[in-house]
Amino acid sequence: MNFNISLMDLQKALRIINDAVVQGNLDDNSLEKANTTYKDSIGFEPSLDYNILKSQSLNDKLRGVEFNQDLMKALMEGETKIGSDGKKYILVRVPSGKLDWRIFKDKTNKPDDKLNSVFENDDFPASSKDFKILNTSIGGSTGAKMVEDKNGKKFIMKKGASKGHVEEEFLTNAIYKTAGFDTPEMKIYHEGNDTFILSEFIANTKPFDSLIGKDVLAMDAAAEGFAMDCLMANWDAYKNDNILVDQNGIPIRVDNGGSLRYRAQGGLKTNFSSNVDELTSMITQNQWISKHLTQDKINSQISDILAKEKEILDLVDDPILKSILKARMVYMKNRLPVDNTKKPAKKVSNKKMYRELTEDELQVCYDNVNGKLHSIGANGWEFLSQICKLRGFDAVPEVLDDTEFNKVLADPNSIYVNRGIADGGGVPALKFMKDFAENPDCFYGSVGIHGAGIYAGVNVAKQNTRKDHGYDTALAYAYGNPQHILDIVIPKEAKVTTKKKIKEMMDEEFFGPEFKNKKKEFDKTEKEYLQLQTDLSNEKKKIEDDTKNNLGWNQKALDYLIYDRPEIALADTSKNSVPVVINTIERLIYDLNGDFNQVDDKTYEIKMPNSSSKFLFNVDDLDNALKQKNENSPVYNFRIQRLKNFIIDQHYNKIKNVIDDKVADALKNSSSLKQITKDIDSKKKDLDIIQSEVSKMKKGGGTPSNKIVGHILKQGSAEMYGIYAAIRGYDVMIAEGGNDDGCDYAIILNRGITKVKKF
Amino acid sequence: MYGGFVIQGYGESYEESIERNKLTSVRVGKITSVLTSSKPSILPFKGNLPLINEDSLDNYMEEYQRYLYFDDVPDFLQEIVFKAEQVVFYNYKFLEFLSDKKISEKSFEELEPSKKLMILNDFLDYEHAEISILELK
Repeated sequence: MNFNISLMDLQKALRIINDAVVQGNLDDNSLEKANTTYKDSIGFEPSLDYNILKSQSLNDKLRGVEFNQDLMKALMEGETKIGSDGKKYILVRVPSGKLDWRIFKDKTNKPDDKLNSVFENDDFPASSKDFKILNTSIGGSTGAKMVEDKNGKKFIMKKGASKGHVEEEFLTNAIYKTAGFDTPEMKIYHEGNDTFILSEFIANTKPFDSLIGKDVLAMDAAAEGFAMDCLMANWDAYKNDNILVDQNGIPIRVDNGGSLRYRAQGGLKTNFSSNVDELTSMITQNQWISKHLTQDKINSQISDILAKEKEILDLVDDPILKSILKARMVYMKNRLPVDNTKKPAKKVSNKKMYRELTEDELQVCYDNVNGKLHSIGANGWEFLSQICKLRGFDAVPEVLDDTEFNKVLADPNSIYVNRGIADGGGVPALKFMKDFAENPDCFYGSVGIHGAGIYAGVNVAKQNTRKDHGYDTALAYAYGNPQHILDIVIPKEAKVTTKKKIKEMMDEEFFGPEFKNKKKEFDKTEKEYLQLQTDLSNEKKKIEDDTKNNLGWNQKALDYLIYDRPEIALADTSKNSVPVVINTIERLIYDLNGDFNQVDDKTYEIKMPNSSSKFLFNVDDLDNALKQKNENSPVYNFRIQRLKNFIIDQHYNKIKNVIDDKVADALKNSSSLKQITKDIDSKKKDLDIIQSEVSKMKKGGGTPSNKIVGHILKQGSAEMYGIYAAIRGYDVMIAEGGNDDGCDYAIILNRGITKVKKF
Repeated sequence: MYGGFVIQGYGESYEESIERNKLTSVRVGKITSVLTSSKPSILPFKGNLPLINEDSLDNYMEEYQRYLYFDDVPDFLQEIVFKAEQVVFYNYKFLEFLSDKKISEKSFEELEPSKKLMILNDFLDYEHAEISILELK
């Protein structure tokens, strides 16, 4: 595929977009954007003549005068301009081939409307025509200006460093306001290529930084927004006059341009992520604040934010930003101690718990997640969480002491499961364990291969011994720490099903019993096929392992190269002195049985054991070797990167090539491998025949009991099994199939029915 | 042998992801949503898609379940995961790129092919990547 776009292609693209806009298939914003992209691509800077031509042709249009089409040909489709009537116009090529100005139909106003409605701005100027800029520059990182409307009301106009910057600042302000913090009233404007905010001018205020160390009450009041400032990554919140304190001592966050993804001066931050490191860094950088905060206060602020989670996230349209903000809230939530004062979900009657859910109830759950069945939020899988709440499955479990726990466990019909937990995202495992046992908000998980839900290994032996696959699996999840395993028993009264049964129910509900049987046949054949593939793979693995042993494959060193990324880890020579870097490389090469020889005082020669190629490494080259792919990616040292590539290429890839040759040879000459290959081909043919029968039967379409269930059944993704089981009122779904090293998993849907051993 | 991309789970740091991804169910769980889709991304990935037929998903999942550690999973099953990780990894990068450019996923989808191509080209430049990243081999 050729990606060199010619000028002709670009012109053509612009024309195609114009036509789509004229035909109503695309909105005006697309054409405006295409125009900008086209001009950027060809490096077009409009001359004075060009701009005059634009103005004259629009003015004539507004005066009802036909403008000379020959002159207009110089203009490009998608040009926009504000007319003398204050309205925005766009230049389009109409079907007759003529260029014509018409009123711009702005579809992107929608998000603006949403955000603008957060503020009381009805009396704000309608456009830039309705105010004048006063000769007062009031500073700020990106040059805010004072303006005045026709009634003498003053506003601050901010354009930010870019459109994205100013839009994000506006969003930030809307979020602050929604979360209950004071900001000035404001409004955002899009006029042609110009985007700006007008913010009400608040007189008689004092800049907050002038009060630090002097006005305790103001400091207390500003510190009340600490957790919010952290969430918004508003790094400069307490600096300069970014907060103004009014006559009543109320802090007003007036300049939030350094929030979310942007820095105050408009560049993008490189470390705006799901981790709210600001909870510590902003204390370090604003030491006064520690005297005005306690952990309880921070926790209370976080709780207040979380109470407004939905309202805040509803303001954010950008999916990436939304997911990061969401993850930041989860990060903060995970730092809260378990709130024992919060009322746990009420235990509901069995009749209510296991009732058939109505279509309306399911629709509400569906709407609450905007139809996104896979979406993950503060409570894990959001749709599942909704269903489980509806049933009362989210109640806290009973925590039993050893004696009581063992009594329940002794019942032969109870199921014993272990859930291994590790520290994660800076949160200790114990906190996650307490969350399961005590937190009224149940976390429903976010990763799983058999269905959405809370996973635990089934302990068949009912003993915490590594011989049991369930316990062993939990131990692996707990990184080997037995203290980080939750012992859970599922009592005999629980409604337990298996994934296999759920799968059959889904097949039958959607496609009928005949399909269910055909699918069973398909599954049987496919399992035989996969077993043959596994047999072949095991045979190849024997060859691979032998070759690796003989040729010095070192997996630990490879993991270091690939995952620890020495080109990044060792990049900064101010942190890793040259001797440290050299020493690390030397050890690595020796671990691989390679040669590491000093040629002179600055140069080393490196050779790998299975290759004659040499790599010369000069320590002086380590300097000035820092690179960065783009502003969001980590800095790396390209000399170390080259050395890494050399090692992988001349050592690991060489061994890999030998393995490939040996495997190819065995497939050609080994009678057992030839037989397996033959069996695989034959089984594949059988499988394809049944597969086509299954597909044919599916083509007729299904008949789900209701619309939402139909949507779930059509998803074809593993998570849906847990969701379907919860809809059908099962407390737990067991995914069988554990053998060898793996285990059966219990996928818990009703936390409230489980019993947890005191830890 | 070696391959794949480090997919970070919800709230996981890079280092935590590397550790957790050693467990088969964690690593596979992170990519299940793209396994059965014939268009798993807004990026035009080329290759044999879907990676697993919808009707086969459970049989494959049960195969994965047999192995506690991903290193022990047979190569033909590992390769499927590597491809899925390639999709998830670059899809996320691309969505981030679009987000920085203030282009929504929906408006990108609605663009005319030549415009899409231009944006895709910009993305590859930005990532210092070759078009071959879209080939699932």
